[in-house]
Amino acid sequence: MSGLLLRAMDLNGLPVVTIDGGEAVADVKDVVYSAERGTLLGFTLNKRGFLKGPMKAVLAFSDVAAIGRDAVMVETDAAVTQGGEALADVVEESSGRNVRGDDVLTDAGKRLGAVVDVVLDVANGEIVGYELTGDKALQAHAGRPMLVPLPATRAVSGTTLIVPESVEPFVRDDLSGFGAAVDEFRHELPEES
Amino acid sequence: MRLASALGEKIVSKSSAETLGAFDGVVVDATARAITAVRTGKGRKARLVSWDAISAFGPDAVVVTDDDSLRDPADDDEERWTDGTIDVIGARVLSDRGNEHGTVADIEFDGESGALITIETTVGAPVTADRLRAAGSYAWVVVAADDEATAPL
Repeated sequence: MSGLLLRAMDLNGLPVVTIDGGEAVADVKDVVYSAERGTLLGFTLNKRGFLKGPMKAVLAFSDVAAIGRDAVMVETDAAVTQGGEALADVVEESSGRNVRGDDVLTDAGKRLGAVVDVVLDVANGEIVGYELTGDKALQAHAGRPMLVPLPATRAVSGTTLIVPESVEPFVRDDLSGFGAAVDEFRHELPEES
Repeated sequence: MRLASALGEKIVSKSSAETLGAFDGVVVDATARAITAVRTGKGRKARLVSWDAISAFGPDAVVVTDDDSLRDPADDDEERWTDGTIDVIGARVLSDRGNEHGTVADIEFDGESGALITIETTVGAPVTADRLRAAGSYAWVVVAADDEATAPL
């Protein structure tokens, strides 16, 4: 994994900018992802400037050219005006399935904490980890985030996520070293049956 | 030529030696990666000189063919460069991967052809003009360098 890692929350409010025009066509309102599939699906949008307010159009991840620290890039404004009919259904369906607040348990039955955000590899839209608040013993420094890598495949129920017990050494408090931790953790996991 | 140091030069008519105004800005064709006109004044008072009507872009003055070289913006696109919709110096620079590189600090261009050569930014290495994708009201979009995703900005 070599892509830039960002929290979903970091993407809220980013402008959506056309590569062919240098125009900001919308702002990100909400990040829409599927916890079951472990992927980013796209974005709901706000109008910019004086017209602020939700837009009907949505932006599907498949129509996104790139996601950076400062903007979500699309090739043309067609990505926003035409795309996303399929996504609209997904938004509907996933709205009741926000993972924020879900408990994270190890398969040994230990509670690591509660999800406050998801960590995305923005290059491919994969959810590679969760940010938690919770277990003080695991949290290296008070007030720092607690980042937990996710296996490539995983079990999610309505309110609880189970991760392998072996994840504990790979918990990090900084996104800059987190990509490597995800890689190492996944490398050590036995093949999924 | 460098744009930042040339701004403020006189625009002088070759035929009458009259000063027609000050060199206040440019119109850029981002697809052609070239300056297509120079601007004097701004907003509604802005007038343009097409690049073809410039006989010399010197260190102290922009010499244009004659007094009639000044014209109004020809279309909506040129209007965007005269009414302040699109900035040049100070415009935000954004890579096509969605990372900002500060703002445009200066532009190096060919004084003969008007072709852009490099775009200097306030953050990071200068951007060669062949990496320019678009210049819009939000940002100038440039193709990201290969190492951008991992390099700290």
